[in-house]
Amino acid sequence: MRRLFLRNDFSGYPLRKDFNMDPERNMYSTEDDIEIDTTTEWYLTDSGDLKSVSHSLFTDDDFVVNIGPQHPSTHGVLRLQTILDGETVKHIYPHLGYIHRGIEKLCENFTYPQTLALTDRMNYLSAMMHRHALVGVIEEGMGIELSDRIMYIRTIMDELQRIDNHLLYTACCAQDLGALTAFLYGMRDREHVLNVMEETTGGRLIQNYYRIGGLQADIDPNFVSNVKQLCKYLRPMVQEYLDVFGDNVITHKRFEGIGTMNEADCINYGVTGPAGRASGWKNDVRKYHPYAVYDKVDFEEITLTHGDSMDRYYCHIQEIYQSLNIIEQLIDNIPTGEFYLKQKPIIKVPEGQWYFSVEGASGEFGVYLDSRGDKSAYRMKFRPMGLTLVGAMDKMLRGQKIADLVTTGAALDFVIPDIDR
Amino acid sequence: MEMRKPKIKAFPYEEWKDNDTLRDMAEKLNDGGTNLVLGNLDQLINWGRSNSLWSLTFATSCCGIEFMSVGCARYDFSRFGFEVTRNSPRQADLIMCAGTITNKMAPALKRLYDEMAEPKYVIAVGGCAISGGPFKDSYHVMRGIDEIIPVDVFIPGCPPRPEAIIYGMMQLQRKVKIEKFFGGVNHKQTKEERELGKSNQTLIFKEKLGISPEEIKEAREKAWSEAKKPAPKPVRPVEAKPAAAIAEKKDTIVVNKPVTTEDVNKLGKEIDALDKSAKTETNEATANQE
Repeated sequence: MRRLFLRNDFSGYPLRKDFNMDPERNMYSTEDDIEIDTTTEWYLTDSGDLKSVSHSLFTDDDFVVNIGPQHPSTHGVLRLQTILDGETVKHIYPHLGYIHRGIEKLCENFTYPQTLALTDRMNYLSAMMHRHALVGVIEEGMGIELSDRIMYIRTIMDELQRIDNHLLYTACCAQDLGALTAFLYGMRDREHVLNVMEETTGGRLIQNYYRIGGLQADIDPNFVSNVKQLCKYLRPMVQEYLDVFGDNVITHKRFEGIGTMNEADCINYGVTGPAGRASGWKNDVRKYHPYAVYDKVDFEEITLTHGDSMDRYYCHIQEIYQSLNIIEQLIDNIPTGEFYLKQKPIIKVPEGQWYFSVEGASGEFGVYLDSRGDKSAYRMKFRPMGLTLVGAMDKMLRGQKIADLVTTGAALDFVIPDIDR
Repeated sequence: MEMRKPKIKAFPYEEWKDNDTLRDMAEKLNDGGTNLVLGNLDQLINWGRSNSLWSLTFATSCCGIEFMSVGCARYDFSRFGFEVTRNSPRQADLIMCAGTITNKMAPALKRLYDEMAEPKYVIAVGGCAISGGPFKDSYHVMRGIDEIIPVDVFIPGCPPRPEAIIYGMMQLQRKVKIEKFFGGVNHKQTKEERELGKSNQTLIFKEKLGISPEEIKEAREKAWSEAKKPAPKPVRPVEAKPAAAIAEKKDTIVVNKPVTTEDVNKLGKEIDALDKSAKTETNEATANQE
């Protein structure tokens, strides 16, 4: 057992209710953190005593390479302590928490409408989905029945956001392999998606669009025609990414058979989302626990068989088509009605516990809410999408080459602030 | 430093210092078809420096994605000379701090800044880097990176739009253009700087920005403790009473001695006399009315 998120010299337990949140008590330090090369195992003896044994992370012969926290290919501030044998990876110890912002604790002090702002900033690439989960759990607790119009618009927005994320994913995959052209193509088309969303929501990257009981604003008058135009534009473009990058022989050489994980291990490690579906695990929340209007639309759950980086990439590409299908089914049939059901000025959730999960862009994202009937939550827990993916990297990469660490990380599609919360 | 006086027959020494003469000479030469530009070498170097500022890719959260879009085709900051981003702090001119800096990340940011070669600049992008943003109540977030590294330009927003980021970067260009390069930015390290390695921290804070980090920290803490105080209870505004006939102030009666029975009797008689006179007055008044 070792510290995952906080500094080793941090004292106290932040999620306890008696933790002192005084900013002066929690000042930064420019001193380097203490590096601990051991982990502690705790166990109970037969007589009921708590004993601990400490294990060493490395042996004296190990060659340890530290990657991160500031590394261009880790998509943020992830730190991987990698033990190498020549070029071969022997073990990876992920160190997280370089962007741990304490969102779960902040949610306990904020009122419900205030907490909504935090999820958008947690994973900015699936901001809509994350907010959907949080809004969903609060609405479930309050027992709000949404109108069809709200649910239709939410579904369309979720899928637009998924396309946005997958375009950025394909772009970043290319960039991590050094293919700058495909990166620019992906970012170019992402701007078109952002334009469509911006016209309705007013935000470019972080939209703040959903709110408890509906939406922030009604859709733009041009929204329907813009979305149709976008769908028409995007379909041939996705083929272009494949032409430029995806079907390239270099990509196949770098991706095929790299970072393989079979279905059983994916289930064991909890690798959800496209990364898990690439190995055949059917885990789409939209199919198996449908929310919004996903039970009314016809779409295919993409599952592939190899479970390597190449299949993860293809899974993302094919999901763009599926998202376009969903949007095209819904966009002509948005029912009329209220876009926002008026709520009380002070929103309180009755006592109880709720869990609501959505299919985020790279896995299942869930929110657990423990309410004591107050205007702010007693405990709010987020199930991040990327934490399990990073946890599985060690298993995926053991015995592979160090250069494949970068490509596997690129193909997994994780966002660090989402992991660290 | 002592200047050696140059001796040129056709150009007396006094005229070296005279800008008008130089300008006249340049105009004459230009008229004659000679290409000649008069200028300051500082300006030339700053022109070059400001149009090739290369930034370090340092993105921790959302602002980093906007920074990526600024680098891509639609916004394209290489139009303004931010040609490429460097992955190594040794090759970078400026650090774009895009995103929240947590307590765990703070030493790493400090180290990255220290590793950069002078002259170096810092841009704080987004609310989190400026002040902690929406997370400033948290137990693990730094409230502004200017507490550990000197910041040249702040770009507000959550996250700032790409146009705002470009605007902020161009502000930095303006700042670079007016800097004194020879003897200023490009000065020889003093003994103190060399020995203590202080050029990165306190000296820059003091010389470049004219502030001391301790003062900032104290001011911040003060502001914090005030912000944390419970808000004063709203006071209902007292309705202004209509200005009544202002009673003249009477001299206060100072009693030195204890009150005796004689005094009380005397006072009683006086009051009785007053009452009688009042009654007679009212009687007269009623009689008049009748």
